[in-house]
Amino acid sequence: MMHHMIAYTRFEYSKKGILYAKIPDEFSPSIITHFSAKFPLFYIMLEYKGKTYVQKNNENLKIFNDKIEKVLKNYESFLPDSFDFSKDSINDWDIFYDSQYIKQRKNTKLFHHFIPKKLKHLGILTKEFSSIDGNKKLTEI
Amino acid sequence: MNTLEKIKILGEAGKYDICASSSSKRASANNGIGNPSSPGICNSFTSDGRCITLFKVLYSNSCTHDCKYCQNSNNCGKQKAIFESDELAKTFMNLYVKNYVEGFFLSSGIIKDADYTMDLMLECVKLLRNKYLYNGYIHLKIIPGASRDKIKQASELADRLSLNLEVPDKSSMSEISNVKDYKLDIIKRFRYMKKLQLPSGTTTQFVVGSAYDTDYKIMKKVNWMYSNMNLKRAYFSAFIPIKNTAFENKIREKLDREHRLYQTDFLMRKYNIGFSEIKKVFEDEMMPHEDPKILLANKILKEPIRVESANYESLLKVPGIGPVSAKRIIDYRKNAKIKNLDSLKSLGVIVKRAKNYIELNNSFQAKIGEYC
Ligand code: SF4
Repeated sequence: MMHHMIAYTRFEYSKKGILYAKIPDEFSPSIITHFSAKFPLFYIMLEYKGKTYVQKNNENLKIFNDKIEKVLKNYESFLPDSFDFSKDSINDWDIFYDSQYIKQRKNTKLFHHFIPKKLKHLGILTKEFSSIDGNKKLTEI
Repeated sequence: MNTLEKIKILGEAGKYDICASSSSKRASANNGIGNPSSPGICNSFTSDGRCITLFKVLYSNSCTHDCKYCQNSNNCGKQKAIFESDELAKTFMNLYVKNYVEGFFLSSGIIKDADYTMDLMLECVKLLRNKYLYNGYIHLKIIPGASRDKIKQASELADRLSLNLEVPDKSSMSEISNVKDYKLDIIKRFRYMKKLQLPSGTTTQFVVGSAYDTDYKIMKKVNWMYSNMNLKRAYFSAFIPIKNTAFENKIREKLDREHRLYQTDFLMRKYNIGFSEIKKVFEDEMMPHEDPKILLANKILKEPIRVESANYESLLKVPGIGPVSAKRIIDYRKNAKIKNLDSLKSLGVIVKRAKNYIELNNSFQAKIGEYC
């Protein structure tokens, strides 16, 4: 499951140099160490069960009893403009995701083998499930 | 043309390229963005069950070449597009930091000539490494015919380089292209790459069924590449006819053939079974429609393997025993006796497959008539 948590967490970016995400109750905030080591340049913020976990470069984990929106206000920009990744990536992702599908190789069984149906309700892989569901009757999934 | 349209066209144009790994042994630079070693993380899967780990696009789908199966060839009427280097680098970074993908894969059709194209690709990768401090995984395709200097530069920036052989030899190449020179444009470039220290080595891909090749010819070439070119991995992609290409009416290759080639390749790479043994199972130079490991066992195992005493290499020849379970058996034997099939099962052996080929406690494990 740790693997899934790391693979399926999707961040948003604040111009202040912060990557933030709200993670589902099924996940664990301990994944913050993975991301703060991977992206040492940025602050990582995870909102989990109403609390916000903050870490940078794998040091000094802070936990606030507030939602992300409130915690974000306490941070100042510290990176140059070239590190502004705040452009919404959802459209880029949706278009890219669709572009990779090879219709002649369609294999719904394999898809569900790799992305368990139990992750569907988490609402993270909306694009993935809507693409596959769009091609199948609900009873077949 | 806006970036979204380019992602659509150039993502689609690159979708037939296969790339699996997204991890590298390259040391991670402090304070950059990302790291090159996140083994086995698949951030998504497509409806065909393939994992999407890398942002895989072409720099451009314009191409001077005429490969008859390829949707980017010069006489295929597809809409053409080209990224700007910074546009592409920034688009990728936007997806990477948000954890949609684990790395970057860049290939291209040939614009003007090989080195001109390599320069554009290298410009993009340099922006990633120097401007955006990107420290994650990069897989770069080498353009057929690229100079030694461009290949060297690519090796200094990327974790993995690859160049597609597409077919096993010169005569097959002449079936699919009038322009590409197999020895000069491809094999010679592999010789350059061989001399470079690449964190994740080189890979190649065959478009199986694009020319009239046999499995024997393909696997013989793969074996030669592993032995002589330091190839790390070969990928196989069953030919699919694409509309408006010269091969649009050619018959599609069965996915099953692709699967058998992967199984055969696995025996060579992971089980260290030599091609001289593997070639015994080909029939009319094709791999029969059965698991190659079972075919091989039926051919070469003259008597059951004694699980209590067989060495690692012998254990590996038994269907149902893989590198992990073979090692577990050897470790287990140091301290305890393997009593029965259940003990083997607990060590990860697929007993249903293995029992026909093994002897345990001096008794053959298959029932009379099961041994073939
Ligand atoms: S060189 Fe051949 S395979 Fe590569 S993009 Fe051009 S036409 Fe396609």
